[in-house]
Amino acid sequence: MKNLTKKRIVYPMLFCIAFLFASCEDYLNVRSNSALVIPDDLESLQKLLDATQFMNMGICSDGEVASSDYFLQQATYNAFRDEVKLAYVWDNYDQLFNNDWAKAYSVVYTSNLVLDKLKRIERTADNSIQWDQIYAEALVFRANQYLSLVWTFAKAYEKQTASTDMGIVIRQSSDFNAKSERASLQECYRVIVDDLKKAADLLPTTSSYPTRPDKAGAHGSLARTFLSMREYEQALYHADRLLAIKDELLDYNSTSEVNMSANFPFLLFNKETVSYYELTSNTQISVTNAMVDTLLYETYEEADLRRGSFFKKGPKTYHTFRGTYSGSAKLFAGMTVAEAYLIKAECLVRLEQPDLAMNIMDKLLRHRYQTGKYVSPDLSSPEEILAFVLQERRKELLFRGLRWIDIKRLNLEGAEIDLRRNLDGAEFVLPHNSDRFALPLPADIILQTGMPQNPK
Amino acid sequence: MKSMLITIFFCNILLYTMAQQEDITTVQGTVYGLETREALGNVTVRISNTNAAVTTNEIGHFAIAVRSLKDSLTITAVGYRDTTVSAGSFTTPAILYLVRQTTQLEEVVVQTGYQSLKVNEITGAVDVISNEMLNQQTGLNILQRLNNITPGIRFDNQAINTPDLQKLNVSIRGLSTINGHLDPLVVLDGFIYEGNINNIDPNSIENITILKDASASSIWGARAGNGVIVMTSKKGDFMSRQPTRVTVNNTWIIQKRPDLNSLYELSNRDFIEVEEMLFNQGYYNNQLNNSPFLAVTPAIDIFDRRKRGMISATDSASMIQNLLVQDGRRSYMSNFYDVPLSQQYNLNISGGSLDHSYGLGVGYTQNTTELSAGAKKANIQLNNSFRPIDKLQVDMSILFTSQKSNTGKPAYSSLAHNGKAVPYMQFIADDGAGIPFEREFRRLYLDERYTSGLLDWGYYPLTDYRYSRTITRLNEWYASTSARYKLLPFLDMNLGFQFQNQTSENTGIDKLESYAARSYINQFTEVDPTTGSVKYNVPLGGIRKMGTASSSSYTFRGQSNLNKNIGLLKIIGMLGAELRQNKNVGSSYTAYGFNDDPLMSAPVDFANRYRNIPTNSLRNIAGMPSFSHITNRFVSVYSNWSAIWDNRYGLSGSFRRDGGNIFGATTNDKWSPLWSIGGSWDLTNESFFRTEAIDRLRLRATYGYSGSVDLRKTPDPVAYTGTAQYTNLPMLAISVLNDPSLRWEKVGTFNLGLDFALARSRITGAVDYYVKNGRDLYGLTDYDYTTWGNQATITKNVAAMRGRGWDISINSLNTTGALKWNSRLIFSFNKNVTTAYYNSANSGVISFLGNGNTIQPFVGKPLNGIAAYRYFGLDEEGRALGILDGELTTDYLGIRRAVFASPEGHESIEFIGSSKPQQFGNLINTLDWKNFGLSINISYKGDYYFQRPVTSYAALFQSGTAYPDFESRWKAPGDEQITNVPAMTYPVVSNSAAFYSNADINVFKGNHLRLEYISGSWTNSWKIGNREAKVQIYGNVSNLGLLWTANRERIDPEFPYRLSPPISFSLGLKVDY
Repeated sequence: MKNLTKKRIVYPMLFCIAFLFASCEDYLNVRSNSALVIPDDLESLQKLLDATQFMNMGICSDGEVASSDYFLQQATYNAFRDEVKLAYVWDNYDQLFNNDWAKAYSVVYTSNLVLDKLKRIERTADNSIQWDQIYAEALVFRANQYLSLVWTFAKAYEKQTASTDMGIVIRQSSDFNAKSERASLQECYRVIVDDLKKAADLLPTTSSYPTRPDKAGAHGSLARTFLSMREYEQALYHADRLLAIKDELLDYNSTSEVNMSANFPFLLFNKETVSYYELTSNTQISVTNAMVDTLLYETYEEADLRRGSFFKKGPKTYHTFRGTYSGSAKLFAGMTVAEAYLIKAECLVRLEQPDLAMNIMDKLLRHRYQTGKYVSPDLSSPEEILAFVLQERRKELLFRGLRWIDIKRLNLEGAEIDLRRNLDGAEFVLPHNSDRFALPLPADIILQTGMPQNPK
Repeated sequence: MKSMLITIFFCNILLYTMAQQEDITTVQGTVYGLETREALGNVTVRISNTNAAVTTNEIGHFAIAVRSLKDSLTITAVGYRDTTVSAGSFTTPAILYLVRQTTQLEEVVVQTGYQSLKVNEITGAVDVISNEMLNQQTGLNILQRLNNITPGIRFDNQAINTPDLQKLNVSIRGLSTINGHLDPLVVLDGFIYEGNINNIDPNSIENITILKDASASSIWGARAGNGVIVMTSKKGDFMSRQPTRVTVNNTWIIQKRPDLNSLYELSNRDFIEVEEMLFNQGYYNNQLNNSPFLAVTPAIDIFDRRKRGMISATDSASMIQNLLVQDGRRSYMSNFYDVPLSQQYNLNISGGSLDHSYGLGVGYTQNTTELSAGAKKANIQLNNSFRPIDKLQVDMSILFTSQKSNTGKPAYSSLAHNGKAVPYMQFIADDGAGIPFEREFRRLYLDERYTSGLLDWGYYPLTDYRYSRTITRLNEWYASTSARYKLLPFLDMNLGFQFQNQTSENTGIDKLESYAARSYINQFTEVDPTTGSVKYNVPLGGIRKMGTASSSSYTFRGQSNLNKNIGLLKIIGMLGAELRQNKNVGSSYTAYGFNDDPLMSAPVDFANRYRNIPTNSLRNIAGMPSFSHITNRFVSVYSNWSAIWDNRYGLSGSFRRDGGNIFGATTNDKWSPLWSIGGSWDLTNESFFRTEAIDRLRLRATYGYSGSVDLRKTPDPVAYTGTAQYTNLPMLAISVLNDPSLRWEKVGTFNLGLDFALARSRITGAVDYYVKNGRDLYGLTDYDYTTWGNQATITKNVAAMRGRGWDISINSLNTTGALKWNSRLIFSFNKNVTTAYYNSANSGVISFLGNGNTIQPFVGKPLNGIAAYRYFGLDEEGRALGILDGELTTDYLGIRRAVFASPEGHESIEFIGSSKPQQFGNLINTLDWKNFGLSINISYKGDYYFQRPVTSYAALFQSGTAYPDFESRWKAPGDEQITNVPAMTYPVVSNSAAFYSNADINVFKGNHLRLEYISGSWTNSWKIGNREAKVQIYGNVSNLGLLWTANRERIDPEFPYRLSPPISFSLGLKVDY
């Protein structure tokens, strides 16, 4: 009797327990949060790259903060927090998260993740177009970010010293536990150029949105890269490749293209935009705080439509900037057709073809001046023409994150540009040969990694 | 189990017959203890219902004169059961044996949620809070009633820092993890309770058991690492004395209105002087020029108008004069505050027969706050138990809660002009009309710029709440059913199912009259400058924001229980398995152009961005529908065994394994094992241990081990979905990084306890010592964000920690007789210290600067600590002085850099101590006299430090906040002799505020005594028919304030310069029939 009872109990119990364990694997495989995804197919990798608010908005602005197309009024400066004040006078050695470094490497991480995941997805005849495109897009995002980092946190490229000059951290995998080390400047530029070239071959000529990399954009990045390396032939070649795809300029006389009465006259994704990026936000250079350098403002002639469309009357006799191609207060940092023309013109002068350069400048500026008001300046010497081109470059491309590297590379060409700030009657100077042109890495990064800081 | 509670009454009387006598007779006898067979002295022998009494001598002998042999004698002795016998039994000297009273400890049943055990059957650390103790405090939250009466539990008065890890703000025995969940697990009638704790009607809870050590987590799983609070609701009894028992309860609670005058504010004159200085120095230039649409304070508005020549100097002076005479706080208090009032009604009916028992509870609670926010709650609870056949018992329980709450008037702190509060607020103009308050936008700018086509921009704080309120409706079902079948006399099987569903619906309605709706409509209006035609992108009408959240959970449990005696050995065990799911589904959207009569709403364009008035930025209309769906599943197997030999030696062990659907985890990482072992030794049952003084002495010990795995231990990074900016393409972004280097978090807990009863159980209590050792604890740590960049910190196995402490509770009966005086002392020591930290580059001592409310792991230091800069007074310009390289200095940035660079410590910084009380306890004295009862509870918190907030000039300029030190700031040379408060300067001295506010002069010892509550009651009972009606009137006064504090400034360490909870009075009536 007792045995029977036991059997009656024990077997069903054992059965129940066995059933429980057999089914609990399935039971536990339910996804905990339905909004979460493990990205591992081509569609989801494309979606990672399509996240414009991260991928296209991480271009470093610390360089723009440090350069001098703008100044801060004393009262504005006084109201700032300490680190903001310090950055303004090139002394921000206490920077902690969140900063340009973090935002830039977040893009690098996502690009690397996409590249790592792609290795696990077989490239087949069916998916090759999509596969190649995603691969190339990731390369472009990463290279553009590296370029922005190198321009900000390293010295300008000098062939003789590049192999020993400190560059930035080159991370070629998404492995979180891989140690960060500073690569040489030479290595940094090699990676950027290699990746961009590889991508330029694979990308479609143009993409449906300027936020997605395409061939034109890749050539634009290459032209920027080579220009900053002072490799003018290469820069010219890639500017030409870009212009072969896209060469239409905005005519500032057209009210449908440039609406002067709007707060921000330029439209998002306008036809001159080759690739779309934004600078990270930094309070010193926000369109309300930054006052445009008064001497710079005065270089815009009355007939120059940029005088009205780029600037807004600010306090006193000062002006604030509104010429961003974002349609809002965000600072645009992408490639434009105009920039390609300017790169081309500069390279042509430097490659001893000043007449061709002047033709390009005339074409560009005719789109900038009131119809019929532009008069080509009568310049004879290549030096004068170069100065003219560089002046126009500064006037066209201000607040785009380009001025900082321009100052550095031009100083290597002998320009001797010193930067000055006036505060409370005191003058702060960043002399043209200063080590501080390579901005300091964040203090917490130095502490965590033990990497060498840029010399002060 | 209940049958075990029934103690068998032994009485053994030896009789020698004797002839019956008339009139006064003397009877005599000797009193012995039954168990010890020793004579008992000092025993009271009283003739029942009279005052005539004698006591026994040392050899237990007594003699007493009685009128009649039919009189009965009541024999009372401390530690023994009262016994009544007929005087006739003692006509010849007789021997009376008294039965030792089982101490309170032994009678208590410990509900672990899985088992009901007697105290001597467990080895872990538990506290059982009886209904009586729970009723000493009133209030709407059941957990709050545990405050001040339970050893080891600390209620934190600091705001919760990490709302995703902590909701209850209660800790049991301090921390056992750095970055895990910090809340204790709440269990209601045997199943995990996932609902809102406020849903539970405190009057429906019979008692609460608190499980504190490793034996808790080894049966309740990893989430029990912070302790378990097991609530048992009121139920009927089988075979109860009365077929029905009715209890009616009603409580009223009134609170004092908050006194804003107790908070520091600058005087109007000082405040306006500061504003004038800022205005003249150009502090506002940037805003006035670049964002002229932003609101400014009334004084700045006047200064700006004057500067722009819009008003004359006389006008501006008289307008300022008008501001000077305002009293914003008083005006606010008289116009906004009501008396906070809560009412609780509760009806309980319970009863039972041989095969059925039931309990029905109905509760209704209503309360309004000082700002007229209201809440109403109804609870219905039904418990039923059946015994259809002898061997089967079926329990069913249903709890239904319905709550509705609505928001009220605006809080004082919400009234600020673009973030800056002023002391000279005005609400009503002389003609009685409401004055608009410029909260976001500046009226002057709006009036100048937008002349037509827009709605009124004015915000009227006095009346706006009528048109703008959020109503939350919450309904919860909680049902459980279980069937227990007795297979064998010693073995039963138990199947249980629990289901819970809570839906809450948040409806925010901003009617067209409300500021929120008017302002939002205006912001999205387009007015054509030439034609003047108006386009409303947000349609005219109300705005209705809907949010729903539903959480549902179920548990399915199968368990077998064994309870067998084999000779002197008693074995109690259980083995079970459980499936649990917890699902949270939410959605939200906003409807525009809403009108409720006739009911209508209008479509809006969520996709495109519109130029915003007056900010001129491009913005989307908010409130696109969004959804969330989270499912957590758990599978557990568990077992708990104890063996007791001869009521002397006990041995216990338990084991549990939990599996969960951790997203992306590999199978092995989904399962976490937990175990514990324990032993006990009851010395009082040893033959060699027989002493009068000690009635009970029991030693017990447990050791247990638990592990948990972090979600980030996934092989792949996890992304969330979203919509890309500008392109509106679907996008993904990585939210959780894959970190294969993560290890399991492991915590080992040791507990050693002693239960005792002394002096015939007049003194009872327990002492527990515990050690918690955590290894590989997860924590947020700084990392090389070059690797990812999305977050400042990342979860890693960062640290090891040790928590150590004592929990002591002592109950004593100080006097007997007519006036009964009971004392209960509970006291806890809790210290935790980081024993290892794996990221050496962490920022070090500097991370302890602040108020100590965040957890900072640093080897050798408590997890919550305070460090401070060494402060050397002021220099002759009124600047704070610190030390750097042995020299006094004002180079605060230099000090910060130096401290940052030497994490282990530096001459200019000092670690001061723990910021959480490391000693805390309560003394509760209860007096009973006739029908009256009185309890007084005093709490102590000690061995900790707090930082008082001080004026930061940057904060004063920006938001208007200041503290009393402002009054004694440095004003003129020489003041440095008498004050430590730096001078106010503009621009603010770099890093000065951060240095001064973290200076050692602002850190004080937090030790204090607080009078928590006084509660009193009057109880009487009447016989009505054959039933007894018991009436109790009770009252309670709580939050009575500090009795003593160690700091001389008498700053309340728990509420430094903040409003402390206002004193509250409650009065209640309870009828039992």
